[in-house]
Amino acid sequence: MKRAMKRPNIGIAAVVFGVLLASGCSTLDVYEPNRETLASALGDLESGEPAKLERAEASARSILVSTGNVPKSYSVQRFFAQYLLARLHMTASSSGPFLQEPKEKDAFDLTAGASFQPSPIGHLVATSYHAAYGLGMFKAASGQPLSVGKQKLLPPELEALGVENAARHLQLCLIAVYARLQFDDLTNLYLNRIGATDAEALDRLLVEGDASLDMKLWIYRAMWLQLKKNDPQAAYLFAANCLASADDLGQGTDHVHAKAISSWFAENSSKFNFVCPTCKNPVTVESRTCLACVGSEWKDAVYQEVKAEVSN
Amino acid sequence: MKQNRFALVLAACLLGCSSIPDPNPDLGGEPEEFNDFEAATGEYSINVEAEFDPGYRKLFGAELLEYGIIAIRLKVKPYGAMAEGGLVRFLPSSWEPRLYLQDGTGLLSMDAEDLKEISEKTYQLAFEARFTPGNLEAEGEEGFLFFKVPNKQSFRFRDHTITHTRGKTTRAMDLYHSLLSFNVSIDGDSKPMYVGVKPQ
Repeated sequence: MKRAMKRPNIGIAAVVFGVLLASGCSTLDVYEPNRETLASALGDLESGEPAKLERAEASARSILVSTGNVPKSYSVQRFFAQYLLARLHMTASSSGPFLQEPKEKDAFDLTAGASFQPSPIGHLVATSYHAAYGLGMFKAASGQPLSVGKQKLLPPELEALGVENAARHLQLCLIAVYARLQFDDLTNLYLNRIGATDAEALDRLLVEGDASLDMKLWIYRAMWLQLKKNDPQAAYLFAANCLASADDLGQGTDHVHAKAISSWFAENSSKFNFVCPTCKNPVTVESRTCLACVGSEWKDAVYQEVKAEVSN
Repeated sequence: MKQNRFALVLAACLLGCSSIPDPNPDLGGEPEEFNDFEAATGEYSINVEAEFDPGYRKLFGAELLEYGIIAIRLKVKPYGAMAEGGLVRFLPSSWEPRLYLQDGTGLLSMDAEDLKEISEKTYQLAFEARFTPGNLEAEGEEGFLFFKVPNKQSFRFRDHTITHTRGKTTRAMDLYHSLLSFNVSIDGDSKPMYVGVKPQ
């Protein structure tokens, strides 16, 4: 009887001790390694190289794995792990795919030496997967302190970005993915959700969300498509910005949408006057520069002047 | 005896607080923001639907998922100007249907003939039900595409959920959030089309 009375006391003491120990471990030992892992993943991501993007993916996933048992204690770090996963897959889809897909019909068995090819569409699907999960984690991470005691949860770059802007980035990722896959309804749903009402508002959102050039291109194109029928003057700015983004990406008139946008400009030329902001001379869409002012770029000309010069 | 037990509990606590990877971690539950990919693309005046149903075993006389094979029913129907016939073509050499799982795994479609590995009966049923590429007529085209996952051992299927293990991570994915892609020739130009997989 006495033995039976004593046993539970030892057990309770051990559990209490264990809980105290565990809480001490998570404060002292766990946040810092995760922060370092986030920093290393971010560094790999910014290189844009396929091998480093793949390494960044493994790093970000390792955080989700190691904190899977206690997600509430690591909500901020887990949210940013999802943010990095979405961002790196978005980057990989355009500049450095590391996912592979079968190239030939008989390439079902990975061990058979079958041929494979980069999978940009696979990366887009993975982007939407992680962006959606990240936005699902946003509520848990939002409003949480970014440090515990003296320990920072995030590397400086991610801390400066902040949870809200990272969530904005995830929304922009979804818009870019849906636009690239031609899912117009979903694209417009998210464009309306983020409040992209005009060019200035959208540009502000793109800065806040740290959108990449490739994302900007697809988002500008989406705005152009949304507005071109009912508000061609507003659509014009987004079309111009889409072409400018293609220029910045080094794709210029070879870009898949440049032809469609140039045709639309030509069809609607009577609605616009393109002028150089420096000399006020007319410029043509095709030339993309003011022939009178060397170095004056067409995109700046139209962007600055179209609002004043547009005619119906 | 008491000391041994206490040491055991303490060891368990210490192990618990070191970050041992969970072999099957929850990556965040069902995301609140997840939208299905759209069921059809409207730019080319063609309705496209891709469907999956775990009950397809009745159609093929075998549980295809046990063999790592996913059957997707594709329905394509032109409307408007596209319905006049001859404008839309699925060229067998270039239409390349692919299925993308949520984690980005891309699968290329297999021939119905490859289902002979299951049984002759399954092959015959699959052959008769397959989607046949070619010219798209006004009444449209409907049929099955078959996709086989690589490394079957790393995938597990349950209804419309697939779990895929890569390294230390196991991901639960919903087939209804996967994406089907293929190329279609419209008036001579090859265009990519994308459609989300839906329940039947």
